[in-house]
Amino acid sequence: MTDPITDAAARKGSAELLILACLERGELHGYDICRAIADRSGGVLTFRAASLYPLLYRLEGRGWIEGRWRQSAGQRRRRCYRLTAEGRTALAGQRTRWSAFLRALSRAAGLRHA
Amino acid sequence: MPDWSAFVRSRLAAEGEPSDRHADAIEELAQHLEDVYRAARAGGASEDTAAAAAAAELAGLAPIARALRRRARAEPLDAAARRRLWLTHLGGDVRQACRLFGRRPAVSSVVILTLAIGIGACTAVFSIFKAVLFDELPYPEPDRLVLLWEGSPDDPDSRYIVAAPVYEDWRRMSTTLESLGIWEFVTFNIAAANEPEQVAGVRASSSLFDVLGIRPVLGRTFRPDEDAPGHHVVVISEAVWRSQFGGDPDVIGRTLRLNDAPNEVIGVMPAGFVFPRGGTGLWVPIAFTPQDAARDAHSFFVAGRLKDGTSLEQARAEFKAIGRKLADTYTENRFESGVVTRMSEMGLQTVRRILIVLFGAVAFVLCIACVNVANLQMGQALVRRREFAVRMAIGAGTGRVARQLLIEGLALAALGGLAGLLLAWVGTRGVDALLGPQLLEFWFRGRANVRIDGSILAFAAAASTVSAMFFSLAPLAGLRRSGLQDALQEGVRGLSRSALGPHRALVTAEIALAILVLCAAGLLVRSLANLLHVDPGLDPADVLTMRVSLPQADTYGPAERAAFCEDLARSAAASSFAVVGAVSHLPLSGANAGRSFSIEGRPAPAPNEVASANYRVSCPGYFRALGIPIAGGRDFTIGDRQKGALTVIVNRAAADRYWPGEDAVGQRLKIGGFTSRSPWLTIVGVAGNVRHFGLDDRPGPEIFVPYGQAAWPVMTIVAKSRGSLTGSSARELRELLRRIDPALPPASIRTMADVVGLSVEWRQSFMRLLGVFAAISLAFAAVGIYGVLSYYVSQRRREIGIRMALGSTRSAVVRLVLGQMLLPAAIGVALGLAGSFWTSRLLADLLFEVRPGDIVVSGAIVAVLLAVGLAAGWVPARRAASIDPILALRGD
Repeated sequence: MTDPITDAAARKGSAELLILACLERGELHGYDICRAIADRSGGVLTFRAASLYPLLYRLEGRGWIEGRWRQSAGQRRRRCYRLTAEGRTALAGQRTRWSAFLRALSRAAGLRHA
Repeated sequence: MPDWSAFVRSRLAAEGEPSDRHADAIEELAQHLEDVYRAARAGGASEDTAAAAAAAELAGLAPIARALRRRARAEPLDAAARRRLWLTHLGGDVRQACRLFGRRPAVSSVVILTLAIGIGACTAVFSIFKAVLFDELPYPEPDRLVLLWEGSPDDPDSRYIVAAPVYEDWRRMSTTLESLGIWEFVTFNIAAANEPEQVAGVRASSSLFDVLGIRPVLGRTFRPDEDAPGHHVVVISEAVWRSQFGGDPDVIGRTLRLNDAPNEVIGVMPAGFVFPRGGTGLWVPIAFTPQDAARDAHSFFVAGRLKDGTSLEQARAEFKAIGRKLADTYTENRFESGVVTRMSEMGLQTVRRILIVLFGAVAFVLCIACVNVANLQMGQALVRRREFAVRMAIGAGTGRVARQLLIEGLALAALGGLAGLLLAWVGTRGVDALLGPQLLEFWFRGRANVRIDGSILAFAAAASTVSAMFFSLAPLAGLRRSGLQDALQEGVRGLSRSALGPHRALVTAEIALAILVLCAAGLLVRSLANLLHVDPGLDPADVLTMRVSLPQADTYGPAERAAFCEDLARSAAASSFAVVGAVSHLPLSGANAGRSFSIEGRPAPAPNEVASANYRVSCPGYFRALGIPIAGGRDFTIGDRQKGALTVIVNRAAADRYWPGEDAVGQRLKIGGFTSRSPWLTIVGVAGNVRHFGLDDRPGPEIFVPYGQAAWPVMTIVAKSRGSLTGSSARELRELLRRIDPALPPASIRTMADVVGLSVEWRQSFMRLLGVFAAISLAFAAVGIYGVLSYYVSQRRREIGIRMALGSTRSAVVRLVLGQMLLPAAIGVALGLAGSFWTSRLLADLLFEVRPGDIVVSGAIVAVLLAVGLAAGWVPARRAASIDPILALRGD
């Protein structure tokens, strides 16, 4: 049984889902996460630093992602984030819930599936 | 390009976040802004537009500031800061713990006293345990020292003392041992300045001193050539050196008269040299006699030293193989094997069992003490619930509260442990009084050196720490359960139903543990009671005994020996003694000798079915003096010698075993095998059985021959007084001996009652000690029950008041209160009895005619425990019943 997705949770939860999904393919730093989300959503979804970082800190606190400083040759060090094993499990769970939610939404609201 | 770090810092500062706490986050955010700025510039934006785009990223900064604050709280500090914080908190906790003593001195004192008793008892027993079982023998490389025995190949536990030829074979054949030495106990009369004196000594081979690796402080030990007969030399103990020679440094070469023969002193052993046992004062050369040459004359003890790097198992295997070889070669050794044991294990069997039981008992006592303290602390913790709730509400984690409790507990346990050490120290001082002098006296090392040293201190510290962890963290479980939020809201007035739960569990544990200790003590009490009701087969009342060492056979022939018996018998007439006799081996004194014998008119038995019995030499009057009945035939008489017929008396056990269904009287036997040239002896009487080896031992077959017929070096004179023994009886007996032969030194004058008493002494002291521990655990359990119920009543005043206002009777209230303990007590009793069934198996070997799980003992224990529990609960129950409903209700 999946948890129902409420309005407030949906707003926060969708952002979490986006971040987790971004990190699924590899390590990224904050600015790259913003860009990746914007690119993948065709510019529809954008994040500002003020809303991105609280989410990163929260996901990190939960142990779903892990941030660490990376130093590459000739560049400044950057703080990069990657998915933990726990985060991977959480992502899978969120995907299931969101698919169910979106299916229900499209049936109920008569949305045309993209 | 703008300074993005400064920008982020200033914005965060505006949100009330000091920038020094978030250097990492600031760097990260600044880089983000910089990326945005660069991207905008790269996309063709002007500097101002790009800067505005970057700044816009941080619009609405509050969530970041909040998230950072949250993260700072959760994030671990760096090591130095953590240490600083930890020390600050520690200081606070210690101060808090000290304040707590001041705030509740009564509870704190009870806690400290309880712990002191628990830790003290544990530490005291541990110090005995360690001294007895872990102290090494006082010789170089003691791990390599072994004892060698002959034994039966069928019975791995059998061990006999060794015959000289077998020892010689072992010496020749063994490759696992570096050296072997042999010895036999002998007693000597030495002509001291005023009075003759008896001194315990040893015939020893020169190699024995090499085995032990101890050198004399003066002179030398024996040379190998002195093992042969004819060398009148003696090595003396430090004590004899002082008493006989006044510690003369030039003692080497002086003469000491042993049994009236001059011996040259060649060496003085050091003061701590206890070999083979305490009180040994003289060592003379082994000088094997023709009698020692028999392969079946088991008379000697053998010690050996393992070669460096050789294991005990290797030596065992080798001696088994040597045993087989000897068994194949010599008929006398056909049923014998070689047995190797560690020298340090000698005489530890019973005492190890006793100490394990005692240690188990005190461990339980300590557990009960901890449970009691946990109970008290839990009660206190509930009272302090509000304090903890407030601390947790303002941000202290469970860990911080746990640590505070732990530090309070450690402080209490440290004080309890110190007081316990003091108790343990007193205990080790009085260990003789507690355990009796016998139990801690060992071969090869003398008295166990029971003392408080570093390892004992470490033990006490460990016991205190473990106790503290247990009893201080138990309240935490109680706290969690009772719900801290409730505490904040309701204050300390109410007590939820579940809050008594942990207390009940502790009472259950306490009762179960107390039953374990009580059952063990109960079984021992019953054993001793059974034992003291055993008929020893003799009457010790008003009998005085005195050991006397007599001259050897060469100067003391049959006529002299018979005359000695006659003099003894005659001397009684002119004294306050009714009968005076003598015997070679006094019952219950530990002395023994055995002989195999042949029965006239029977076919030669198979070698492993040869008739044998314990062997005694006695003077007429012995049986009468000790009240041993002559069941058939007659006692020895003085006249036996004149008639010339050689006589023997057998005991009932021997008659039943070897002449079943026949009258033993009139039958003939001879000492030794069928081919032996010893004369036939006619059985003239059958004596009653005596429990020679202890009240707990079954009487075995015994044969008695008159002293006039057979020599024996040491006799014990047994004198039955006409009336009660008086203070002058000992002097009179001494005088009586002096009149018979002034050269004979008296030794070891004891009443027969003392001899009997000494044989059960270890049981008595063991039982007494375990009884004390049982009493302590019972008292602790009572205190625990009392504490929990008092607490319950004080917390439920209001409810009880309401019940009484609504018409509840006093007896119903008493029942309500006592009923609280019914289930925990029942579970505790069940668990305790089940547990004691297992634990008392440890005791099985120490019991006498009572089995582990004995129903009478268990029943009595449960009855006692319930009675004590009821009494302990009665006080708070009565207090509850006398609550005035009006006052109770108004009180809130």
